[in-house]
Amino acid sequence: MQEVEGEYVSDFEFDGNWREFAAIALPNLILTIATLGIYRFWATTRVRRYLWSRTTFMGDRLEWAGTGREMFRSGVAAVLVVLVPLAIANLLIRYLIVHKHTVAGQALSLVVLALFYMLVGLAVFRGLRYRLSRTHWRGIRGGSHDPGLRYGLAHAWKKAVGLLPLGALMPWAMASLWNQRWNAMSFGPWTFSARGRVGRLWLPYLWCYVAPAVVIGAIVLLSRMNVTLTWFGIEPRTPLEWILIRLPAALGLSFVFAMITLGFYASFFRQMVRSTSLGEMNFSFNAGAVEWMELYLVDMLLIVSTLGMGWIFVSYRHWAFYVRNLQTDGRIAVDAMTQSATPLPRQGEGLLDAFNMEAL
Amino acid sequence: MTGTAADEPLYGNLFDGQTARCHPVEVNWGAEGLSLAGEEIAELVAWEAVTWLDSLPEVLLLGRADRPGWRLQLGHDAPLELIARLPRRPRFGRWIDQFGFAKSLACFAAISGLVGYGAVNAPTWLGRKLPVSWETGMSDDGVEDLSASTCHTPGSDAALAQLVAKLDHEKDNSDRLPVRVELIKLDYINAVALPGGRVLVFDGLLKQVGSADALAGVIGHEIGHVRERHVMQAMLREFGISMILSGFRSGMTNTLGRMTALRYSREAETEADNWARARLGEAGISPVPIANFFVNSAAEQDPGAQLAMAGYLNSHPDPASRADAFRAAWRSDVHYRPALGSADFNAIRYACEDDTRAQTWRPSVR
Repeated sequence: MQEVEGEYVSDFEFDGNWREFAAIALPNLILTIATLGIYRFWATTRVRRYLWSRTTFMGDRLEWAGTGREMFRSGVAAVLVVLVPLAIANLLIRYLIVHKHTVAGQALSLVVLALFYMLVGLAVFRGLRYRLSRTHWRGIRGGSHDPGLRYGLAHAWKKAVGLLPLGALMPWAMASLWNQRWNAMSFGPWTFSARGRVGRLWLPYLWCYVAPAVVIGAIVLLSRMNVTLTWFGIEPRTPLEWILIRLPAALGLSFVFAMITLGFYASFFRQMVRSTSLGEMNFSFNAGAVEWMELYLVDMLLIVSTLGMGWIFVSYRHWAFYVRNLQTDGRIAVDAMTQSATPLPRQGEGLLDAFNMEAL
Repeated sequence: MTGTAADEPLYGNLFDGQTARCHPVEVNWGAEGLSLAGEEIAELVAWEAVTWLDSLPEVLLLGRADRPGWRLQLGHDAPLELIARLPRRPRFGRWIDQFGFAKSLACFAAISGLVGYGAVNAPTWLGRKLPVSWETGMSDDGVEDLSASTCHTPGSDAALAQLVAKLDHEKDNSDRLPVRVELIKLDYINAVALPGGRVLVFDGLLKQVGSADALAGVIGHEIGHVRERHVMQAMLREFGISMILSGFRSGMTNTLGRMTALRYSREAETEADNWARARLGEAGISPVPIANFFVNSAAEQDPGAQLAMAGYLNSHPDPASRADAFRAAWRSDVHYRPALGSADFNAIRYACEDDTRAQTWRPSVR
């Protein structure tokens, strides 16, 4: 067997600029509105074509080879095959419960819930497989041999196990699913290897636990003390006023909670990326909790300050964030990098889109 | 003719889609296609197979329709004659590129406008077309029981039946919804039409209405909503497609409060008024008392009653113009008779006090 000496890899670089991006995103927005949302499949394709093409790895640009047409077809298929039956099942459950077949209704709703979780898992898996299969670098693409059905099942039961003990096992479920997902993916001749472990994630996850416990404790304490909340001394009289007085505090708390969750996610993502490799190439991710918070805060400010228009730049910002923080080291044998033997999936991300899970 | 005959030779980078290795090639072109020559490489790509994928900062990216992953990078200095031979570079998508951005946009906007117009008007159109029997099924099924709050006395039942018979000749026609007018013990100045031809007149309104003729106007207006299928239209508008999917039955529990709060369009209110006016005229009932009821009764009452009356007026369009339309229907050559005798009117008016069994209704959702 011929021994191929690999080159040392350099990092990914992003050289896009927001003016060029705006020239793509604005017509996209206009066309999407004019077509009542149908154009968004083509819009996504155009956005990706730009973002990928402005991302360089070892001097060569990535290429997005997906088409709007295939994404549109996949979206329509997902609605017909998945969402319509789910809606019908929901109506059936409602019918059963209204007509006092409570047990049957609850049993059916459990089945539907399990099925829903499976489909979400399948959607995530197929979305990733599709994106890898349409990502080209030097003419080579990625993909997976696995249709993802087992991953869908695993997603359902692992999330259930993670959630049941009051969510205590979620880090385990997330890490385990990450590994399972990436170990099924490949790029060129090499399969990804993900060996993420939960070990160091428990501490950041504990914060997600402590924070709401502290908040609930404080609320219980306040209600015990019989304190009447007022707005500059005005007592609430209607239920609406009662809610409005609590709104700033509730928003503030959910914001803090979101930031704490993001802190956990930052550790999670960092650890998982570090445990993932492709061939002789290892990955790592620079961004910590502060950078993630900054990313989302600026997103929010951008959207609010432009009355929503800034939303079109979110995908650009996120892609740039991922690319700039992703680091690679190790070697890559370009001559040994052969074309992927995985089947070219015909479905795009229809399922993911149908579940309204934004994935760039 | 070969494009490079006179000029410098044109070079490019070829990725063959088999490995990630880059093959520098010399590019020539002729009538048959692009010919590439390099170390280990000698191929001719027919023009039909060439696709122009993208224009990158450094290079033009070409592909081959028959070879996935095959990529040829040409510098931006590629001769214009060569670029002219290339197929068009995809931009917005095949259709839009073909018709042009502005034309496509106008076309999409027009179609979307039509779709939007259809969606807005579908309830009105559909509400008229749906079979009456669908609505009948909705009247009692799954809706909370009002019988405990319905006021009945022998006198009031007979008087009400008499009044309804005068207004609604079509109630014997089996194709139409049978109308059922009920008096409900609730201090609320209003009357509502429900699905399935039910009309509720609240006790608060009975106390306020003043004469049998005005009551005939109010009930006529509500029966008008029933007959013109406004109830179905408003339901379709409010609950939308989910109602059709759920077969009009399940999931409608406890929505009586919401149904009584159904809003009709201005056109629907006018249609119901027109219907009531026509029937009052046919029955020889004067349209003036109902006109007065719209504009005057609030002014004569104490502030609390005015506020309550405002609720009724708010749920209907401009009372002054409605009153004017009713007044204009009065004709000097017609001999108007009272809708009911005073004993019959009082039987209706005080039905909720006389019926000691009736309890005040507490709407579960308001």
